[in-house]
Amino acid sequence: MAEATNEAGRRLWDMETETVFDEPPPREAPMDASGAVTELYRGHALGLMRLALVMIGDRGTAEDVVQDAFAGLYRRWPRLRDRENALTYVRSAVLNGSRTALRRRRRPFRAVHQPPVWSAESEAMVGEDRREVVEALHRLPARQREALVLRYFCDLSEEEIADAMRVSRGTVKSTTSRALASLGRILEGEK
Amino acid sequence: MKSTEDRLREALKTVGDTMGSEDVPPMRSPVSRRSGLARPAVLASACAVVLVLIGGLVVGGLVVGGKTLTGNGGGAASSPPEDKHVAVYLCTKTSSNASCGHAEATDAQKANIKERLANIRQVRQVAYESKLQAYERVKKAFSDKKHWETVKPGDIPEAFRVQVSNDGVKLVQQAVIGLPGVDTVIVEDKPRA
Repeated sequence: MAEATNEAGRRLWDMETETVFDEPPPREAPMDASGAVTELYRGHALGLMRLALVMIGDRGTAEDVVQDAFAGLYRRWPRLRDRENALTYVRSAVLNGSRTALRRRRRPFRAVHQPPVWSAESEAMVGEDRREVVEALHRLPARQREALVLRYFCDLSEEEIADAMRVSRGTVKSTTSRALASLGRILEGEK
Repeated sequence: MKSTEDRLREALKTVGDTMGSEDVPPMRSPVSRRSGLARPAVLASACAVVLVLIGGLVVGGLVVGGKTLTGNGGGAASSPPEDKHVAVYLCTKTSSNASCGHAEATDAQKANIKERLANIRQVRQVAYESKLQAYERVKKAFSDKKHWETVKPGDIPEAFRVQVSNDGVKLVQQAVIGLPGVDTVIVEDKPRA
């Protein structure tokens, strides 16, 4: 039975093999809000949805967070100071939105949400070892988790991570190395 | 032995790749704020479509002023103007109401609901409408609409159509909302078509 579901899962991943993360931004940024925001959405929605998925775990909420982030960008567009950095703005919005979504879940009497895609109950089969890693990642403090995801999933430079998290480069460095160390410890402890 | 970095990289990629470009919806119109509804409600949305259709029927009746739509309303035409019409929709398998438990209303539940309704003094008439009757009725009203083709018999839930004097609407709602087998209760502003 596990064989069959694994097979199905693999086929699901094969459909989309390359991670479209940071595609080159549109050649010359159109100046009107809807055109520019739509362009940005076309190039980056998938990457950002994956980012939100990794942070939150359920697809529906990830989609909501990304849509809200783009809606926010659209509202802010006329007052945005450097439109070159619109992507950084949405990325931060997605990170903040994910953090809010996770925090809301901890309150009692909230709507039932789907099990995270990496859990054993989920239909998307992720595999035992990977599940262990992601679960360990989610035991880290939020800032540490964000730093690791931006570094090892989005492959951002220290500078970009610093911008997205609104901290200094030094903080990014120390947070990342501390996070990696505790992640290693958690994984060791489970052996 | 793989390093923590590599394991992390791999795990994150695997999780991220469960989402593909086919999962990216078109950008929501920035004007409308989020719906706040739970997502994987395909069945629920099917139900919603039906309710919208029914709602459209009610509103349609309002707009047209009952000229065309209320003409064929059996029995409803003769009702005094202060009477209200309440539709008590019964549970179906596709109902999004959690208390329905994805099951049809049973005969015992229907009998119980009907009895409760009949026991209210202000209620003048209780009529049962089966799925097929509901389908035929709505089909007649929507015969000129294109969207109609996607609705099948059974999509519109069975219901009790209640005619009640104006001061009895609250009583009807209190009596049946939450009863086993009841999905939703809708007060119609105008007599049904």
